[in-house]
Amino acid sequence: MLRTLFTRGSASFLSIALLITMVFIMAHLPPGGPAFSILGVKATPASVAAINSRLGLSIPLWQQYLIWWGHLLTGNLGNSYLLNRPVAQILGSYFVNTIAFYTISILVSVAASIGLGLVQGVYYGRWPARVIDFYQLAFYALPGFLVGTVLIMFFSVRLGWLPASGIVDVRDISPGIGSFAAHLVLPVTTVALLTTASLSRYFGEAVHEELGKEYVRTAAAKGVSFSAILFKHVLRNALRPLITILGLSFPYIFTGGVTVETVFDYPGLGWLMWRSALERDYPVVIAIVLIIGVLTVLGNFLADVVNGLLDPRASYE
Amino acid sequence: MQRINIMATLLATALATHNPAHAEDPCDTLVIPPGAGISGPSDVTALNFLLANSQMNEAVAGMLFTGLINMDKTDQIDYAHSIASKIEDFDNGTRYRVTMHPWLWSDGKPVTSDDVLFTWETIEKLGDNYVAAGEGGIPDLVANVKALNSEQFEVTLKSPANPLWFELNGLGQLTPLPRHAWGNFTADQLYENQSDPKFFSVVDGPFRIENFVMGRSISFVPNPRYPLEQTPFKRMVFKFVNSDGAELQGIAAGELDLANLPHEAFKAGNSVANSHLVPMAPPFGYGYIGLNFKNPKVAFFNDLAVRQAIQDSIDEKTMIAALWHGYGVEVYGPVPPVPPTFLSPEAKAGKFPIGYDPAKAIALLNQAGYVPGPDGIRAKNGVRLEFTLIVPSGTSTSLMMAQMMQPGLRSSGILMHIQQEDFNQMWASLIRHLSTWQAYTLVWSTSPYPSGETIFNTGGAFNFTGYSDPEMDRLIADSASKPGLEALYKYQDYASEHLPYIFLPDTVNTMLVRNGIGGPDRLITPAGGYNPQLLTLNRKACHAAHAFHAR
Amino acid sequence: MNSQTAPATIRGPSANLGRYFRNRTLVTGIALALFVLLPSFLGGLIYGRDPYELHLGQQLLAPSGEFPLGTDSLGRDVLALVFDGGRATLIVALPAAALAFVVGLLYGLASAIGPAWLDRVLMRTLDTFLALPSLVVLIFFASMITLTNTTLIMLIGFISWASLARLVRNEAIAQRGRDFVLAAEQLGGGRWYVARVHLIRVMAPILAVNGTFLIGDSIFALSALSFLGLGVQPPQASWGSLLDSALDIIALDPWWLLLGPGVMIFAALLASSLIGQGLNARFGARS
Repeated sequence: MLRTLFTRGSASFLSIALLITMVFIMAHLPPGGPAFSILGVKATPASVAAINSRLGLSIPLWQQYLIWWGHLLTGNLGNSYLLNRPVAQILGSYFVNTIAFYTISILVSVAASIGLGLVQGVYYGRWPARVIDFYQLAFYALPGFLVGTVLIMFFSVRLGWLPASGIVDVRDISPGIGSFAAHLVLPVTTVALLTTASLSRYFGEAVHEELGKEYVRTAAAKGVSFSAILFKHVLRNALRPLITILGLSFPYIFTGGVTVETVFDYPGLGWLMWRSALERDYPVVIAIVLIIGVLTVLGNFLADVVNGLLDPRASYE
Repeated sequence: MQRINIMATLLATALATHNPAHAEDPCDTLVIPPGAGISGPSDVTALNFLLANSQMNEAVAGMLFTGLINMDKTDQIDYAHSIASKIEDFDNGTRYRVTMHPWLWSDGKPVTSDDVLFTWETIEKLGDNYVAAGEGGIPDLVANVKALNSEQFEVTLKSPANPLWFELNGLGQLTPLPRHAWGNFTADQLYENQSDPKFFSVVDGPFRIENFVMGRSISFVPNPRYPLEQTPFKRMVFKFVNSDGAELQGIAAGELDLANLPHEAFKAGNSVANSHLVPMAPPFGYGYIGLNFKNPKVAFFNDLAVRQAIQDSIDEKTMIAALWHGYGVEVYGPVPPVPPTFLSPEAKAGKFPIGYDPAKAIALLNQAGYVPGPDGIRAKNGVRLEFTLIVPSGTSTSLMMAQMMQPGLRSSGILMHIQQEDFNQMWASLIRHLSTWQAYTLVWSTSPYPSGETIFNTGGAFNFTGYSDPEMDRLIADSASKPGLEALYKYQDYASEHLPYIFLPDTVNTMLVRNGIGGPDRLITPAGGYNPQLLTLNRKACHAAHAFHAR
Repeated sequence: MNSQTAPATIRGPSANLGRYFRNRTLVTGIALALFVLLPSFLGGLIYGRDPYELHLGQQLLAPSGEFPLGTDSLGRDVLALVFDGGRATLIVALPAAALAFVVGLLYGLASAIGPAWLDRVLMRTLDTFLALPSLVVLIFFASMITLTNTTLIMLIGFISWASLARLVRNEAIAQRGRDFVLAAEQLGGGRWYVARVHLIRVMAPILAVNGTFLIGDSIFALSALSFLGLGVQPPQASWGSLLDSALDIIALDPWWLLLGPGVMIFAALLASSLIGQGLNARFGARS
């Protein structure tokens, strides 16, 4: 177990190192300077030159690369072009918001996926499974930004039940949990609808496969109740691929998350990345790409570890 | 029994000490998008006006630091709302003595002439990083600034200047900054701290900063030491929104108290509950088309006849009626007609507007030798009157305006293509004086004294078109150095005749204001002053409006 | 939004070779594809209205006889915009998918038939690449380049190839050991020749299925970018940008602005998914 951890861990670290290098290359590809992003309307040739020297963009690329590593290791993510503040300071609350949002979404999705998957596996071929099939198929073809917009139209504009955007009402000086919760319902629903569509399909397949296996028939013959079979054995076995899929799905959760955050104006990392991309505030964009990359690598690593814990041999009792 | 008694007591105690959430009166907080009344939605990214690189940043900085010179609605000095109480000039406009009102910083220390000196020294230290370098003669024309006593200082120039020009465009830049708070910082440190709210704890304007969530919102509380009008709100929040539509959404949902109504949603804006429409006073500026005089592909722009024909082919009246529902001002020269303070007598008499005159346009082009080809587009010596106009993306109004111009131009035999470009990219190619672009359109905010330096003089900082005319240079220099308004009038008339820009209407913003909020017409002054502290509150109407939204 | 790589299990009726029309999935998919392709490329010509003409005074009208899908906030005919937007979306997304397909195929083949060290390097790089959510990378690059149709095709093409590459490499390695391949190599065929002629032929079903999924991914990526303002640039309309404009004024309940692009995107993505699954069933199951 430890050895696997070590090999997987070092592979992950290598991935991260490679990632950082790739991002550095990507970040320094575009020609021209960032001076215009920073200076905006007040850019004049003189002030542009001043900015370029201030940012140290004239030293050789390999030196910049080393400095880049040095900065990263000390937690220095550069300064925002737009705000002239350290990026690391800016990211704090956005990071927390995204983690909260995605964690809740994943929890809801997993719960829903398990439920739907069980139904789909048990009722395979019959109408409940067909309905779930249809849902999965449909939501594969519905992008997050479309679903989110439609939800806003119905639940915020037409019915007025839920707020259309933001994380809390700006007017609240000390917003309570209720405010946060209300603003999270629609975004979480959007992400959950999409993630569940794909997760539940894998889970449903796994359940169906498990149910066809020898040991299930044996247990049934021995008189073990169906629900005992289902929840004690089938579930545990079917969960294993789910964990792997979940780990592999991290990038897609971020993908979906970015568009959902923008639709709902939710101040998370995805939203910040989008705004910074539009305003050409490259340090922020680069920092977020790095963070998301590292998070996904770590997510995969974590999924591997959890999988290792749920060793198959333990479930055949 | 005893257990139940203890339980009951505990329960009772809990209920008794439980504080229901203190019901904050939502009307105590004013929530508006930055740019309301001034421009489309924009972020606030910096608080130091010396480094403010956008209109919104300037406006917010103005809320924290009262200007030495503030302008009023007629674009004249408003001494009642400025730190300066009196300005005298001597020696033919070479020496200026400014007397200041007694004023306090928010920490109780007095605002003195030393603070003005500090501002001047900082401007010098910032050098090229100072955003307004070159405007109004600051810093190049200034020989020295010295304090006479704690409430008076003198600025001496290197050569005589038109007092009107220098006071409005130059002197106004010397807004006092707190030396006792910032004196020990280097220019670099000032630069790095320009968006840190903690750095701006000492202010002398109507507001102090409470909180700044980068990219999301900035909140202010009243500065009790501000000697003039105090805002009736306990808190004011600028909530950053990303688009025109989001402003509309905010008002409809009750999250914003006022917002710009995007022109295309005008009809819909009329039907948003609990709010009313308020057209704002026109900002002191105008839309324009800049022509690249240095691009050989469009060398015909150098021909005055072509420029005049283009101007004559544009129907500003219809544009204003169709795009801005009548809220707009026709502009035909470099000085906007509203307020008419600086308008030349010829302009006032109606010599300009040339106006929409397609017949004249055709006559001009015929006379100049541009012959229509088989598709109707005119050409001379093999060069067709065809060009591409770059329009900034992000606002639909510029695009619509450009599209409205196309048919008129076509009738005169001029073919205009439209290309949208991201504003930053557009600005970058302009700043670099690249010769790839042919024409672009933007809005220009004139300085309080609407002289033409920086845009029409040869080599001016914002002269991207490459316009160079010795007569224009002379007139501009005169308007800055000779006293009185004569020189300005001459410059105006010359520019209206010679069209260094193609002039387009000055657009007016309409605002949607929630019932209960009053005084939106006092929010802005044409010269760009931003005074949210002048908004008023009618608590009853406000509560009624809020009750509607708390379904 | 998952991209499907390894085809899972059979869906729908069991494979009946040669009986295309009994494969309901495939037929539905093709029908949907036509529903999307025909209006996008022919709709504008047949309908005849200029999508960018501003009908002043007729802004934000709900659907009517004169404007079957109503007008937008600038007074433009929405139906015409949906047609033109479809064209604009597809002329970028389809070539991008083709580019991704070619790059992914070459990359996977190179990894499979090249030396072992190359395989390790390429796969390690691929894994790192896959670690980044595609949209995040797209946004990153889109913020740096000038956005034209050509650059968008290259951008999306170069980002989407990753999952196909891995699949190709795995399949090619699996097939490499089979008899006929070894035989061909014995008979003197060079590695690339073998790859081109034999491996690709054997992998054709998988390539077809995943290539179809790639089209859906490409359309999704472009629409998402356009929605965010980083794709097809205004004034050219695209499905994504139409949705973005609709969201902008959602407070005015402009359902007709959502309907056109929403249905089109849904149909396009569904078509890709169904055709892919249909082909998968047609060619037989693979686990």
